[in-house]
Amino acid sequence: MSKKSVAYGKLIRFFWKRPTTARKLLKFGVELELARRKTVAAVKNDFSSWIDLSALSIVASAFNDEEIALVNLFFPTEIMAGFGLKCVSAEGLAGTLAAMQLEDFALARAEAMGVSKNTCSFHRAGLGLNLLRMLRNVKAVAVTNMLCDGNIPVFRTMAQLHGVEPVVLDVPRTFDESGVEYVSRQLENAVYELENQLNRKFDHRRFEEQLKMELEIFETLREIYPKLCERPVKLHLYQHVNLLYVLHVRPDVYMLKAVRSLRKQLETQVEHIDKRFFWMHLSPYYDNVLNEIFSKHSRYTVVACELSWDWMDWKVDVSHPFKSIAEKLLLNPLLSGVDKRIQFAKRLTLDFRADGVIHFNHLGCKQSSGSVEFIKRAFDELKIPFLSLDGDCVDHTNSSAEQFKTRVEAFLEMIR
Amino acid sequence: MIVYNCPLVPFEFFHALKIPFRRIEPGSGEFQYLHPNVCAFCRTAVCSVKPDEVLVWTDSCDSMRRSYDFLKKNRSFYLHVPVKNDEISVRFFARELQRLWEFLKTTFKREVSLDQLEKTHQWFVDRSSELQRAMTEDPYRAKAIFEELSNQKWIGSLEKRGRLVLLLGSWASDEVVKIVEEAGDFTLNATCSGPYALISDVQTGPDVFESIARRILNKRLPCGRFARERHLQSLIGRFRPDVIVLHTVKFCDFYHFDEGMLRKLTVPFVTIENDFTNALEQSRTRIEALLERVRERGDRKNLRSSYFIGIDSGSTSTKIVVLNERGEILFEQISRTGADPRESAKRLMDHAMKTLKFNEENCFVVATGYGRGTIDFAHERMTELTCHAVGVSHLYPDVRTIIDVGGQDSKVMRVEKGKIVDFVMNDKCAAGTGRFLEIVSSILEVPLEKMGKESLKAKQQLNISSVCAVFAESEIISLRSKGYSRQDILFAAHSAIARRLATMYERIKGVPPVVLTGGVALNEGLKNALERLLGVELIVPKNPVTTGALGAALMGLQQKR
Ligand code: SF4
Ligand code: SF4
Repeated sequence: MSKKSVAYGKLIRFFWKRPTTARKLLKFGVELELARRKTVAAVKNDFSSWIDLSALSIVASAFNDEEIALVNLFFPTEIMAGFGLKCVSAEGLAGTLAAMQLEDFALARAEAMGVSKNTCSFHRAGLGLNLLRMLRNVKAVAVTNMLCDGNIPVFRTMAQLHGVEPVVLDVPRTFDESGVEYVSRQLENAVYELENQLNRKFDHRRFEEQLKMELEIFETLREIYPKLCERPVKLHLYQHVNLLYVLHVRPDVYMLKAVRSLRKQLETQVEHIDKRFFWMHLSPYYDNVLNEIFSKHSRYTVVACELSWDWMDWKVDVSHPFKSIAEKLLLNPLLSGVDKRIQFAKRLTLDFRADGVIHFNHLGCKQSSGSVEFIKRAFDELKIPFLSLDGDCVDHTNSSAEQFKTRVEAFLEMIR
Repeated sequence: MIVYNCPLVPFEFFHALKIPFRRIEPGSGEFQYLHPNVCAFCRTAVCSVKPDEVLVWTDSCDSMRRSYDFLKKNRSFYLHVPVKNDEISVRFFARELQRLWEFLKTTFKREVSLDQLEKTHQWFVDRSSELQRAMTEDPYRAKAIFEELSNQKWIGSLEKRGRLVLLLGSWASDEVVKIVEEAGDFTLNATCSGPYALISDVQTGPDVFESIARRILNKRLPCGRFARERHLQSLIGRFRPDVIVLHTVKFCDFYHFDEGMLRKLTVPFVTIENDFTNALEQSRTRIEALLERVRERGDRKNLRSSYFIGIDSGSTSTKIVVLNERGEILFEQISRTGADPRESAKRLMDHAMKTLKFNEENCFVVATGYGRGTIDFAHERMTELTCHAVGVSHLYPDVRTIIDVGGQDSKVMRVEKGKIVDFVMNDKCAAGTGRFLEIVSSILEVPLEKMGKESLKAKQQLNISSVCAVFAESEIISLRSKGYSRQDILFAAHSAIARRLATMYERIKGVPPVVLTGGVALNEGLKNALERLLGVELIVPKNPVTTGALGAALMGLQQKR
């Protein structure tokens, strides 16, 4: 997302025809940046530094030969903790490539096997990276269809590439008792399958520790939510993506530190925010004009992103872990019809007192943008300005800075 | 009336309760409120639902889920169909089906016993296995059973003839099948609009709902949405098709994955992407080219002609080549196509006849190119893909890959001994075609013919990230305002097109020697950029624009005894 990553990407581009070198460079760059972020986080000890560190540490696992599980953003990764596998999401890796503007290699690779240019570039780039053999130590591939069905064939193909059986979690669209039972049984079954596949025992203690960690993270966030709504902290737009990424894929000890420091921050500092925005779905991860418009230093601040709060109706129950995870998935307000999502979005918008709402329609993502029309109508009724913005989160060649600029600026003029 | 959206529904229920039912179908209009990201099929099919119809709606894919948001006014049952078929999923699905059963009984005030349902299920299973046998043995019978079971219209003709074309992928309409039939061949529709969608490996058990759940989840050919791999091999082994057409829908996430599998097999295939808006003309070229590729060159005819004419009616220019009986080129000319392709072709033809002094009785005309259908005086029509392959191979017998960059489309073909073995085409956007260069030429005010040369004078390697013409335009303007030289920007523009073409080259696994043809082949900037990217030297024929017409003329000559 920064100019630095783009510059480093250019260097890697130069060596791209030699995969081993390119991979080494990638690994080296990520580790260097990780070391830097560690220092920054230790010194600053503030919310945004910890999430930046946490997000990158996930990506780093992909390249530093740790044993990894390749998952999609919504797969309940707690299970993998019980197997000692580090989770890396295909979407996150696609984003990392985009940050360095190297995604074109991966996209072209996926396209060369016939994958349509009109499908989600998170999927295409994630798959392409695997086709390029950039990931070495993939021990498991796991996917859920909970928000997006396009995941299934992508992860099925990735699993084939790594010679493993994919773990597939089928999530129905409504929260009820039979649904909870269905999903928890699948989770138990997944553990059993993975024990066989990995030939190792599931470590219940580690699994529970992970849940306890999440309990503390989410409960702290819940506790400070009212205050945060009142005085949101300023983040760059891309840091919201980091946040939602960490909260889904690996809420770890860094994240714990992040929320603890956030609690402290809220007690003392007051940041002046001119105009507040609520962001729906994702935002482009490459260096782009939206990150400039909604930077930490701008008068326009994104105060919350929908996907960072989609766990809000859920409470971790460590004593019934499988059931609890099933509930987490089924309570996600984005899971069923658009009405639920609208209620949820309205609630956040009003709580955070947002002056405007932006929905980003990522190319090829049907589940998020299909019925955006209703979301627009709902905010029109509330008389809160709403912008439906089309673009691509990963493929930087598929968006135009000028078009973003014109649309967003016109929208901001409406609010001023 | 019950309306269902996909064949993953329990048809047994509808039959047992004796309620009329039908499937949604794409119509003529487009539903503008669904975001354009949603699949083209749904965007038109949603319009076909009427307010008083009762819906049985499966959440078969994201597009269907979002479409359902717009149908809240209807009475409906939203059915979650699991993506797996293990015991856990079967049991869950069975309970969902039971709820649906209760819903339908109350909604339509019917009382039907479970025994009756059981019987209907058994009947359905028997009929569907009969359907499977009939598909190869007796299409008439297959049609009757299929229509009875699913209440969908049978697509395609019933008389077997020509080659067997297996149609795979998403819901296909009869328009796709018609293209095959017009070429004289027979289609077996294994998309979800065809009979294969009803064929399953069944295991009946004591619980009727579980049996029905199994029937639905154990489809012989799993849908693209399922976690299971699609067993294309066994399907292909069973029907032994001559060619395969993979029909995908724009913004559908599933079926294009089949291409990876098909690439590993030996049956020739082509992928088409349907957006349900255009008249499938682009798909027609692809399908016909595929059929020509496997056509046995028929019996030679006793042609009395001494002049063999090839006319390539392209979107921007029309080309003519005239050969004599020894295959020597007697005449060659190019003119703009204009608004009336037939007219321009006729003019060229008249001109050739006048120059060489022969008449219509004494010649054999083969037409190719987009406008080939309009040239009514042609004796035969061929797609430009086949003609290019024949024409270029005539000039360079060793050629293995042809990159043809035209004004409106571009294609990359791998050939062996003059026959196409694989190809891809790009004709939906300006990226990678001459159109893109035209746009750049007008923004930078550099004449088209000079662009290539100019680009080679670049001092620095700029990058235009976008190849979408609309985006590139604004990018170029902003580069220009930043003060970069025309040459530098031109260099970047040529590299951008070359990148698109290189992806196509990779997709068909191109190998040298590579010949570059089409109007853009004379552009040195592009040639240079492509050579840099592909790392191979490109051969450009003396007349790179007329190779299609030459091929067409040669195809005529080949038919002479
Ligand atoms: S952006 Fe949309 S289509 Fe892409 S992975 Fe996410 S949910 Fe799926
Ligand atoms: S074509 Fe694909 S996306 Fe469209 S309805 Fe069918 S399965 Fe869904």
